[in-house]
Amino acid sequence: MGRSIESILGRIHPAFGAPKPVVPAVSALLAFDGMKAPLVEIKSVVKRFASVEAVAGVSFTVQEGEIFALLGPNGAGKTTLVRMLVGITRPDSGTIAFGDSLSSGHGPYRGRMGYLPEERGLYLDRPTIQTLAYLGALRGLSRSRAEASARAWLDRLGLADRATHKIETLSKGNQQRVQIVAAILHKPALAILDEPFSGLDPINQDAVVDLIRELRSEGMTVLLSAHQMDLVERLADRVLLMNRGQELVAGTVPELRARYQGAPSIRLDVVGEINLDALRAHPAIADARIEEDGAVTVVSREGEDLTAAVAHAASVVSLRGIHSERPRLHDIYVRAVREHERRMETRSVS
Amino acid sequence: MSSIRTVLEVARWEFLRFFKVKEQIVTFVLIVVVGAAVWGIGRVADLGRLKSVTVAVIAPEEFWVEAPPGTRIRFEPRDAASVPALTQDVDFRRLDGLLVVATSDSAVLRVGKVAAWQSDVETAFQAASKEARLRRMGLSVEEEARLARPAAWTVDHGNPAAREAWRAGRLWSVLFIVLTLMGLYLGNAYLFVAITGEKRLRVTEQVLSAITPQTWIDGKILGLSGVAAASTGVVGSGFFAMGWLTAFLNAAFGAGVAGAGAGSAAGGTSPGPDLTILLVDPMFLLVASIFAVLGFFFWFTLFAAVASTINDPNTSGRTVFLFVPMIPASICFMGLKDPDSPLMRLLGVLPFSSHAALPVRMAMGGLAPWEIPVALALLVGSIWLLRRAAGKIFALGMLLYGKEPRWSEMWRWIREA
Repeated sequence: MGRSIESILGRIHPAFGAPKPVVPAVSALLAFDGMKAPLVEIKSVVKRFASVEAVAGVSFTVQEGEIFALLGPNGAGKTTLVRMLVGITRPDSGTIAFGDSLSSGHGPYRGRMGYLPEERGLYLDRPTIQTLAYLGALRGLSRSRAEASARAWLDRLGLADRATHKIETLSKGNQQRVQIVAAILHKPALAILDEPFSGLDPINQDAVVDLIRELRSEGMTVLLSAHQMDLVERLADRVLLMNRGQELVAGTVPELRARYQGAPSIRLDVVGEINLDALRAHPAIADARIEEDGAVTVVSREGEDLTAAVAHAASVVSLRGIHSERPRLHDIYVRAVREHERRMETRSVS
Repeated sequence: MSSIRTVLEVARWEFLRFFKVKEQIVTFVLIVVVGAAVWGIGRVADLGRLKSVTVAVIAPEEFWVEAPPGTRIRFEPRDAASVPALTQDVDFRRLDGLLVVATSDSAVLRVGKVAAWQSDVETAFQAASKEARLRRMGLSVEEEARLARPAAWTVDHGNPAAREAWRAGRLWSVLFIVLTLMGLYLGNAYLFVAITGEKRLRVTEQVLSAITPQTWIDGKILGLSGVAAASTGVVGSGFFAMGWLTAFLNAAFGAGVAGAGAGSAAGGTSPGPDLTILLVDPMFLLVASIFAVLGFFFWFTLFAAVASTINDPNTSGRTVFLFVPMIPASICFMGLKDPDSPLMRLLGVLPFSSHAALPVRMAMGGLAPWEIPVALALLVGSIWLLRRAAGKIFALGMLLYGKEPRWSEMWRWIREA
């Protein structure tokens, strides 16, 4: 094989062999390293609709310059939370504060916020540039500045030649782009994007991912909610997972992975015969199994060094490749929600 | 951006959404052209009327009829032997009529069709019959002349200028009520289209994240009041231009019944152009315009709140509210007969009707000096209160999709806000 197991493992994941990192509690997110000052602070926010508690005491902070993702199944309370954030509805209790001094109340901050609603909506019978200029003016830009900014954005997104066209004549993807431009053309400090990828094909999804990254690089803070876990995984600096109006878990994607990793495992591409009993014989290995595609998954025992397990495997089978088995955000999402559902059921039964 | 600037920005947007200059020019031109066309059609009808009507008369030797002055009837005496041929001529429309006078007290008119001139023939026969009976009574010439002389009859209008002013006031009152009602319907229709459309297109959240619901509804009401006022102004100008045009056409080509298109508005059937009636009192125009615009504010505020609670205008029963402004307008139409009646005095100061009733009273009635400021204060105060309540309903209604809220719920929103 010619390379040491340690060097292979090091290339796969730097955390191999290292102690499991401690995932901070949700409240500890108020002090997030590597970012600037907090831009949004939500404390114990509650919102009820009749007997339904749509948001049940959620707290989190969004730091300046980061991409923060709200995740959760349908009905988790994300959109209700977002609507309170943008000032469309008010919380029944709790506080939402904005800006450098984290002052509460939306009034002074409306112009510094951009919003892409989940329920998309534009004036379809009006020309694109006029609609954008109007929405920009509502955000505090002068009409001429709003129009200039709208033209610049349309040019940047390759829609300059459609500026005077009615919005109803644009394709769905282009309408979505125009909608995003409407949310950001006034260069807000905070862009709140509710389901920015919904209804888009993969190419347009990638374009939106690139656009959000550009916004971040230009200093904009982005708070988004989405269902597309692979895209969120690529984009988000931090994630807050919600279910039934409650916060389940929060942190950076690596932190969440570490938390939901369970027993470390690796996936081996092998050549020749596989002796599972020989593989399982090592005390560091809890289990070994052959997958449908012929690969072998080796699970180490809790607390054991994965390096020893890999070294043992390499001694009993011919290795062609070693892959880390990192939990995807999708898996974390599903697992966290299911665990929460089970807890809720148990609580309701007892 | 300050709230007032944002309100103006919304108002500008709403105005430009619905006020299309090209359409307004077309409307104006269309009114003037239609007015000219009606005048032209009337003229053609008049020319048709100039054709004389020939009626053959078969009567005893001592009896004769004369066509009344100003009619188109021409009587032609014939002998009794030609009755069968004349009857055939009438039946085949070669002759307009055949009058057969059996005695001075009895006659038969045979016609091929029903026509307006037949009453003129009857009048002529009755006059001739009366004449014949008088002759039979053996009266002297002086006695006959005294009997035939009509009694003196004069109507004293006092100051002719006052009479003209009353006529002009009536004209402008009718025109004003019609135009204001048109503006209300136009604005209300736009308001329903704008608000329910925005809900349907899901623009609501986008806008409400940028501005407050109160700012939004204020801007909408201002913008659409502007649309209603401008559209009303265009239509009013169109009617005005039509009046002038028909008056000038009458002057140039002679007045006829045709002038009545704007006709009756323009002073009608008078022989020459009657332009004085079109000269509106500037004070009336100012006060009426102020009350019209405030009336738009009042009703549009109410309708914006109602429209925000409508989910689908095609199925909602609340669209019936569009007809509510008909009530004060109808009462004001009835009040034209007696603008100083207690009911009209009351409607002149009540906020929901003062925009229509007060200008009527100003133009035709004896408006007391205190009525204008009182009506104005009540109307402005009501608009202010209504605006606040409507803002609360609008804020919640615009975010509701699906089931429409009940009236009791909406009342609770106002109380709890």
